[in-house]
Amino acid sequence: MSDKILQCLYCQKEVDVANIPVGHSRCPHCGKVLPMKRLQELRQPDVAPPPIPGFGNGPDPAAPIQSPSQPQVQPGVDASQPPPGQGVPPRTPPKRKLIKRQVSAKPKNIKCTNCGAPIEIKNEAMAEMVSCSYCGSVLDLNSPDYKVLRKVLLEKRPASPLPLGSRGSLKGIEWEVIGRVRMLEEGIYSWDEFLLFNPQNGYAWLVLEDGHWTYMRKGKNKPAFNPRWCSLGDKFSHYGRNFQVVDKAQAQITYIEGEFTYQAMVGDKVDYLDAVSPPLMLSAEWTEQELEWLSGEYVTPETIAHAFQVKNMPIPVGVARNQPYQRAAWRKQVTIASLIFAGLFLIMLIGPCVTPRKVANFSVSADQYLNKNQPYLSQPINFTKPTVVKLKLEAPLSNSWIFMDINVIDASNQTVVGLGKEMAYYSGSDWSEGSRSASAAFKIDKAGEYRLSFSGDAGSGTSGGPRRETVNVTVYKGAMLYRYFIIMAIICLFFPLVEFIRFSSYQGKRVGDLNDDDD
Amino acid sequence: MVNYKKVSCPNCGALIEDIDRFAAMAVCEYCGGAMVWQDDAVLAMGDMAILVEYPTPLYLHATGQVRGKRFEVAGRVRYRYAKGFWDEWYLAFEDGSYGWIAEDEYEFSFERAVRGPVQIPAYSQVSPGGQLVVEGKFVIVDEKDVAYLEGAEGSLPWVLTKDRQFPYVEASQGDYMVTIEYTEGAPEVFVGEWVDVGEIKLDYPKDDQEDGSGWSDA
Repeated sequence: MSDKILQCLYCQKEVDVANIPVGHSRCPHCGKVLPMKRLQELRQPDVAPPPIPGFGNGPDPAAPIQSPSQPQVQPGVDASQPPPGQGVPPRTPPKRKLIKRQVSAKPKNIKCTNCGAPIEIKNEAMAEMVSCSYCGSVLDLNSPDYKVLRKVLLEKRPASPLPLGSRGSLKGIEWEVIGRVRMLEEGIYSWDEFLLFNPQNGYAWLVLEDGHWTYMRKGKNKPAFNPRWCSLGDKFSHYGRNFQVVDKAQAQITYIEGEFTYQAMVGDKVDYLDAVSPPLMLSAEWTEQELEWLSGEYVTPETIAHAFQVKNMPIPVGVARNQPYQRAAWRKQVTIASLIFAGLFLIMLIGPCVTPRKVANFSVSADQYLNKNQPYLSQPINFTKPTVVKLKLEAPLSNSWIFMDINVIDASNQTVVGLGKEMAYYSGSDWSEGSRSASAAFKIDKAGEYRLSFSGDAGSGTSGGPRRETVNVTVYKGAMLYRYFIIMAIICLFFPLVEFIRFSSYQGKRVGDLNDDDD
Repeated sequence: MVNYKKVSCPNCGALIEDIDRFAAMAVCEYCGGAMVWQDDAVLAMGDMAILVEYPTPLYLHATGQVRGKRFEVAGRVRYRYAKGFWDEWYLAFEDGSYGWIAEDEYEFSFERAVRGPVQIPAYSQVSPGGQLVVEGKFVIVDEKDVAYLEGAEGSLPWVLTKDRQFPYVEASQGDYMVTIEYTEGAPEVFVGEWVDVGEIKLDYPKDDQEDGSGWSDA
């Protein structure tokens, strides 16, 4: 058997390439097609692995013990061979280097320079400063003998819902609270920043202000402008979302404890800017040396309380600047349903659904309707079932008016409906008012023959006599009374309006609202 | 193709087989001694600090692929500045070229040196938040500080002295980022792109922690 062995992907049996005739590419055991690329490679006699001793060729004496997380070797591909066309062969790390290999940050135990109490540094490589939880001294981890930077009196420690060392899972990462900073702006607004650490995922922040929580991480894709030149209320777009600058100020550290990747002291000042697009938040901090953006997201107090098992959770005050508007599911559903119905009623108004049918059309001359002694009586109109009747009156008015008294008279000569309609139309060279037509609607409750009587009055100009226009009358049946649909639409819009008012008042309660800042 | 040269460490005598052929300097992985090549002779150049490990997926001699290019990690340099440090991983590519992956607090950028003259303002004129134009692109300055060499391992293309100290400026805009090192003579400019840690695909990733949470005491 030659050393050119190929493994069949189907039957997993080893195939000696020398035994496969040129031009054939099927497994002699199962008859399935062999991996072509690999087969061609093995057929070429001169493609040799790189002539570097110690790796590539054959078994590496220093090959590490395979750990479960290492990639599984593909069937048919010998991992010690270079993949086709790749000049850098996969290289098994030599055993001696395994000592160094680690994914997680290295903790380190030191003793407090001031009191000798043990301190565990969670991330030795990056920690620059740590405070002793016993005596409160702050140590400089960059100095070889851990110089004491400052002594803090622990009695001053403000109450905290997240004590150092608390652990909790957020966004699928198990974080430990390793630091805490309390900030103060303008001597009034105060908030806490908790530094979170995970040995594999690095750092994150939880900001607590007025009982509201924001989870923040360092942002890679920063907005492309200088936050120094921004002012409150400025708006910008970032990754398809519209942000508004809601805060820009200088804050001062009033309390700091824990392990930090930088050195900071009580009294240090920080320039910052906050911009929100609920539930998201972008925060910039800058010094003479550095500009850093953090991107954050609102987290409900319940989530934090559950994740970190917090007992004394501060009660949220007002609405946070980046708190999203949330409402019960039924409220949302009712709002959407109401809007849909209101929309349907409005579509019905446009009216293609119910078209009234024309049943009669006749003219009433001026002689007829101006006759004071006897009103004009139309031909009988037969309605086979109760319906809504619509009348349309038209007359070629010109700076004149007609008032018409219309009565609906049933077969037994009883007036069932009486109504009055006025048409008036005035115009000048560049203006006009009124209309040359009028319409009226009434309901017929019983089927039968009905006649319409017309008597009226007319005039022209300011006090002129009638111009004696003939009135054209069209009668429709099966008309629809639009006003009912309008009323329905208004009723349907009531709930969404209530929701909108609720939303507006919610927005008005936002903490640090721009209107408040203008006071 | 990665080519290696063998050398006996002038400091401790250990045989090191995997030094990049074109390295100007290397650090012995046994004793931490630095060595430089002068003509054909290897000279010892003092000790380099042992680098403290932190959670990075990369390691010396790791092979893998980034942005469609296969590489082997040939070396690493660590620079420290006032607020921490960053690592620069020196990559040897299969086509014989070299590149860098800079890693700063769990953020990675894939960088290359800009050849030829670049118009760069003086260090004193740059301030964080300000604008720069590099290769016709606007970038915003993120950081400005002085860095010094903390340590190195593996093979490196230059000779780094322990007292190497230089002002630098970092700027970025979207995925594009720029590092300017104000060394003696002309400033050296590197441009790069942010890479997601998932884009760096190693043939042999580092061993994972048992429970995956990252906490060994969990």
